[in-house]
Amino acid sequence: MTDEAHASWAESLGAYALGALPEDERAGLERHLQECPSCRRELAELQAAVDVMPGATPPVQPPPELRARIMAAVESEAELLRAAGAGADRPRGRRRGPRRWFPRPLAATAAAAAALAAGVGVGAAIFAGGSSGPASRTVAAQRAPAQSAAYLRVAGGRASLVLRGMPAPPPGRVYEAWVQRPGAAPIPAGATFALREGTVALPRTVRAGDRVLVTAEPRGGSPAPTAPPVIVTRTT
Amino acid sequence: MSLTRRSGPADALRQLADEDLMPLVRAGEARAFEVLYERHATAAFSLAYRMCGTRAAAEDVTQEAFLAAWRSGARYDRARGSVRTWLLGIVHNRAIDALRRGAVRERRRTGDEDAAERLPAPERTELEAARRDEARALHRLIEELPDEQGRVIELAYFGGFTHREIADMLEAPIGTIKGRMRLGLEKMRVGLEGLGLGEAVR
Repeated sequence: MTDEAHASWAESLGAYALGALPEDERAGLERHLQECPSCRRELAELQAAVDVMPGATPPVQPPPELRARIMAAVESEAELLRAAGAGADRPRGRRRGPRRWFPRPLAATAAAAAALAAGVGVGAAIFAGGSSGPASRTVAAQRAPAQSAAYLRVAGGRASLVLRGMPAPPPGRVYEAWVQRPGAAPIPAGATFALREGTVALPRTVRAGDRVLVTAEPRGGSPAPTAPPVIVTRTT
Repeated sequence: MSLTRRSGPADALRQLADEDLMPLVRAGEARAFEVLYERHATAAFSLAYRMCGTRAAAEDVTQEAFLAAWRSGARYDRARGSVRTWLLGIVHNRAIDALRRGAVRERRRTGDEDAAERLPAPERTELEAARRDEARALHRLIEELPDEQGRVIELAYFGGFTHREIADMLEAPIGTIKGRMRLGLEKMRVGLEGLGLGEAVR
């Protein structure tokens, strides 16, 4: 790394800590941070100032309904987790990389980055720990629409999707489920639906390592996906 | 919080520090999460409201942020700072996302129609009174920054603008804007040490 490159990244540290770097520059700075201890140190200092900024906000009370709404979602997911037992993973919302690089602890961050790269959330390990065997296993979707939760439950090749709070499919469309074997194109799982809460059984066999996808397709379904998946789950 | 609330978290959970609630949250304990909500919802909502400018957008952002925290509790790492800082960081990210999606900016530009809703929360507890003192001190800290530094920091942090947008707005080179952000934050950090506020940098 040249001194010049370093100086130009160091100049961006304040903007980065404030969340004001555009996406493209953020990725570049995060790469630089991995190899530059002095920038990591300075970032930690600037971050300390940013972390107190919310405290300068005039307090405004949230409405009581907000608590009720949030806790209703939390409780229904907690119940799903209990029902799924120790083999369950946590639901995850929109998947994306960490927005901020935190300079410590390095090892943990690297492990998390590796886990993300492998497509395995950090939460997966925690809930997979006490798995009671392959009889029935529930994993949270890697991708699901905002405000919703989706799980894949697999028992002996039979899979079903468990959905909470799915948005209605766009007008004229239905959701269609797909099974994608490793390295192959998605094939229809044999289920189209417009269900927003509940369980959708998939006729096609799902094996370990397969992914189950959901896309919004024209009514009647398609022979192959025509839209990016709104739900992505992977069996383990 | 009304004491007669039936289904609220047990008092035993309320005795626990945030950091000790997190393992329970990770294990899927809704009640432990509710204690975190009780403690931090006002700060979260206030930040979202300040950034988004309308109650409706602030509610959406706060809800998204708490649900994201519930679903990703495993990613909290106490070595990086307090649970409160972590939660408010999620709120900040979500509000920026909403602003950049354009979900709220349009409405915010239409004026200050709900400024009347900016009612201060009642000072109910000693903790809240202490936070209010802290808020005043922090506010002063930002006020005391040279104008051009305080302005870019507020536009970036509370306005959710990128350095490019701010450079356009203020008709200044991007390098200048970045420099003001860095210098201003550096001054704030020194000021914080003087106040004994903020979390120690480890």
